[in-house]
Amino acid sequence: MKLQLKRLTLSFAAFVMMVSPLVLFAEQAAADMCTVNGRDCWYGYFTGRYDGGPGVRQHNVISPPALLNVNNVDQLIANIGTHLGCAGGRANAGQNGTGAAFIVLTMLGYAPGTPKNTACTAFSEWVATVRYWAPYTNYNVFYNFGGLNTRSSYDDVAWYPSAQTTAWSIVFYSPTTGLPLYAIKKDCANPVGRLQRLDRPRNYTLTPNVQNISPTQIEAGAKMGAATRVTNNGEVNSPATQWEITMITVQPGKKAPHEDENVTFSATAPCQASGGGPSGSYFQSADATCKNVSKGNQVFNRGTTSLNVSDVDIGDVPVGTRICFTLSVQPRANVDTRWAHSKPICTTVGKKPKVQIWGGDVAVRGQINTSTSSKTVDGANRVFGSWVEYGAFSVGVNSCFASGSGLVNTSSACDNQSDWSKLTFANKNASGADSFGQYVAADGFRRLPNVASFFGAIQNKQPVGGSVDLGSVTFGNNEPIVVRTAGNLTITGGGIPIGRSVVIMATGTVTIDGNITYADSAIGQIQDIPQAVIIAQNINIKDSVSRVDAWLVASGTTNTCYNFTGNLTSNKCSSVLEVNGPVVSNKLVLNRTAGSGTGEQSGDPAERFNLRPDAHLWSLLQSQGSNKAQTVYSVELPPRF
Amino acid sequence: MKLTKKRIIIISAIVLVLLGGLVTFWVWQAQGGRFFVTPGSSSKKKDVPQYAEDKQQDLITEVNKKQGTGDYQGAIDLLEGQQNSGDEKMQLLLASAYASAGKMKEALAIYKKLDESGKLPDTELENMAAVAERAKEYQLAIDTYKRAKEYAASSNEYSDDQIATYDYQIAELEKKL
Repeated sequence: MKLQLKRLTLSFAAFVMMVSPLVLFAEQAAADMCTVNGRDCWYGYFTGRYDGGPGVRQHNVISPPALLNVNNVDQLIANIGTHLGCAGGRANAGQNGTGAAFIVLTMLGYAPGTPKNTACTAFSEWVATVRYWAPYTNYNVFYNFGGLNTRSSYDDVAWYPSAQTTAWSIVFYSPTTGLPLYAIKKDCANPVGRLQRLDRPRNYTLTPNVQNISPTQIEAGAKMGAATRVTNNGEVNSPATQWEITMITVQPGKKAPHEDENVTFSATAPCQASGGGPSGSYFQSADATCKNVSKGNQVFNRGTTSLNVSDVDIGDVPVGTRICFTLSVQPRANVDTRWAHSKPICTTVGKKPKVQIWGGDVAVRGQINTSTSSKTVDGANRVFGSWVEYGAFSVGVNSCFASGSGLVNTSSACDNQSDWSKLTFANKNASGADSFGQYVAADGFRRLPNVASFFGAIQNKQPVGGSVDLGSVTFGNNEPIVVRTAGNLTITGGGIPIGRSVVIMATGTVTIDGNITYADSAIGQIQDIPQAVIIAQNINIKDSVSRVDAWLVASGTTNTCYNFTGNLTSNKCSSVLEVNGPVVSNKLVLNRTAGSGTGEQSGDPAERFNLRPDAHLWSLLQSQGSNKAQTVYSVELPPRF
Repeated sequence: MKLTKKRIIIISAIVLVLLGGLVTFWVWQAQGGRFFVTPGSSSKKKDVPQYAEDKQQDLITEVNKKQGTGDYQGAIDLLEGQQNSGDEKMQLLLASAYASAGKMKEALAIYKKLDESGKLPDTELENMAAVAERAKEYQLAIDTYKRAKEYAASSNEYSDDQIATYDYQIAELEKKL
């Protein structure tokens, strides 16, 4: 019997040995089958726990009717969204919440072990993804998924080998290969087969825009900035995208290329100059040159990204030149590799006209408020502005007005005013700190030389009216002074010969309509000095006048250019005015726009007031003629540092 | 524990029968598991690439690929053109390809044929029911879902919810009768 038992045992063992490899092979195959999804069969995606294996009947991923009634992307989103819940950022507990989270996360490629609630934060991305994949999704297809199914244990989902291999499914296909990437069995919402992540959609559209440029009032050599931004209206962030900010310099009176167009698209790069991207210069034209001023390569997140540039030297360009900034990005969208160019935003180069006072001081009972221009000339930083050759006295603050010819060859701007304010009264305050102007209170300020009173006292007066050529109403310097009186008077100009002078006293407005010039001849004695004195309530000088050799004394306003209409521009009053003689006026309107050119001409003045020695000598002659020396004023000056 | 000669012979016979059955199964598998053949036209067989028995997964991949690019007729032609298109597995694939292409009557004909010959796997009952539903043969669909439900109840192959799913589908279909 022992032999018989042994035979039976051997037979049974042989049987077992024959069958067992088949069983083991099946388990191994099942394990391999599941592992492609990141977990072995029967191990939960979320927790990694063993869920009981094939002997335990689990549940569908979503309870009936699951996705049976889902036939398009909107229904899928609504279904999964409802099951997921996400109140307070938490996925619904239980079977359907777990199943929906599983679908969202595995479709986006999250690794096993990802918390369920991540599905809530990723839900919008999932929505964008399934919408993006809608053209490549079949919501009703008989899909052969190869016998790999899923089951829910209510708080987790695990993969199972299945004898069923084909079922009605929702299948997401690769648009390039046509192969299934992700599939869900409709009647149970079980993801089936080997699940592959669906690439995030890459729908994005970039719109460049120049928000503003600053400053908008500029002159040659100014440094400008531009605030720009890129708006990504897409569903996803862009990939690394190149961007360039371009400065366009446009000839006066012309327009920049594409200035009147909103965002434009082109294969042409914005500007190759100064390191811009190759393949053309979109913003270059016969009337405009372009220059890259900033560039980069970066991801543009959804929404708005700011890109700013500052301290861009616009160059020493002529007045009227237009400076524009534009922003370009490339590729502009996931479906378009072209550049998107923003509308150029422009401003016009103006100027800061300057005034120079030669041979004397300037005394002002209010403030002196001027400006400086900083620019690079021949490679050197230079500052140009308005100045007086000697002293600058003011009751109010002196801002940026130089004294002692202090602006010659300086690179110190207004914030270093002390560098060129050696004859500014005062240039220190009581505590010894730098402070400019406010020399003395108005009551104690230097008195006006009373020219009008002097000549008004002369009895020899003869009226003139209408228009007059000053050369025709002179008197000899060796003769008694003749004062020509008038109400309103137009001086058409005139040459003042050697040895002759003219004095005009008008109760109204004197309009100077032509140049008044002293004879340019050799002078042998003080009596030969020609001189003109114009005393009036107001003195208006026409734009065509470039030279006034005369004293200008106005109880009201002296206007260096009055005959223009509209706003003053660099094209109006654009010739230099030179006044040779003292100027005394209650209000001085400096309307000339000449000068302030380029290069070394950057400091050229619009008006130059020159108190020459001839005026002093002529004054001496007049005082001698009256046999008296008249002290006009005296004042004790404070110390100068 | 004493075994008689008769018992030994019986046990040995059982083992031999089992072994014989196993060998027969392997031979059948090796021959492609054919029970009946409904080959397509000979011209189709020449026109489409042929897939050997051990390359059936490649064939399925190709079918999926064609369906993924919307070439449903191409998938059908590929399956119909296989030399072994009459095999049970191939017939099931062909039925699913017909169904995916919207040709429900052709798909249902295959299922019915397999079912009548007793060769329709139980796991395919729900697919047959689904096709019958789409072919508007609602009573057949109901009946088939009921059979699928019975199978689900008796098999570990299905989840507990699947019975409820079939009940839902049956209830919906009954509304259409």
